[in-house]
Amino acid sequence: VRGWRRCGDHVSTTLQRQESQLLRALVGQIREMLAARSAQSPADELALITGIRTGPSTAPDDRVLARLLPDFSQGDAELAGGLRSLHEPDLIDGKDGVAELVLNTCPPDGGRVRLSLEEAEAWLCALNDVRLALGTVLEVTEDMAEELPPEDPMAPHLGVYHWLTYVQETLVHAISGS
Amino acid sequence: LITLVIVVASGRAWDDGAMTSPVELEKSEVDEVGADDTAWQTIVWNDPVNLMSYVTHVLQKLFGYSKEKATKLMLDVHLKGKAIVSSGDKDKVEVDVTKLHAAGLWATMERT
Repeated sequence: VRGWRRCGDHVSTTLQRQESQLLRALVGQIREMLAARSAQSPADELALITGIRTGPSTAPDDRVLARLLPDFSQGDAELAGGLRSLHEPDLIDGKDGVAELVLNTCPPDGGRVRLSLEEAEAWLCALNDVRLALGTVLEVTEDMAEELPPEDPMAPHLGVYHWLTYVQETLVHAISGS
Repeated sequence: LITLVIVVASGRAWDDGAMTSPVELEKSEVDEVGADDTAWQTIVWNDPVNLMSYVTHVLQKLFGYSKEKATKLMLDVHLKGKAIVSSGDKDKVEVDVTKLHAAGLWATMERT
């Protein structure tokens, strides 16, 4: 990847085959995690009748899902639970939607990616979700080293994380024209 | 929530020649829970993953802030650990937090 470029009302880049495959696999994993979370709260009869969906009122045990779907309140558990129940289904739909858009616009075998600015915003969110997930597992910190020693088993994963950071950073700058 | 219900009474304006008002307004407090509902704020917390450029971009896009204002708020998040990025009644702030969560920022809401 050589970073994104803005051209009129579009942005574009070129992905290597393995970059495309990696990105698609990571985005696909986010979708699976979100789907598993949704499956924990199947639609009940009342929701089917009223069309009002409610999600779980407690935060996910899984730390990655907990970071993707944070509490609405610190300190007020009742408020946090109520708002989670109310908004989580839509938030999951939104995150699944941007992930799906990436899968629909990222060529499976690599090559040129050309996005409208609206599509680019969806890519930003999806890339961010993948970075949040990886960053949580890798326990990244603001002042962590750029690279781990090669023998560290986490080293290749951190490399992927930094690559995603580069893709997202250049996309932000391409969109805002800076 | 405080909801104002305006009841328009069917006043008989010239009944008996008395100068009664043709319209009466009746204020009804339907629900008193959360009397200070106008005073909520949205907090964005620092986290090690979100990019400074991305956080600035999100604040500009979601709230229509200038680049300067969004950058200042982002720096507050980065350097002080958190920043109040919006305020208003509970419903507005709830929507704001939802949008920030959709964008992947770590946001919460609280009473001022």
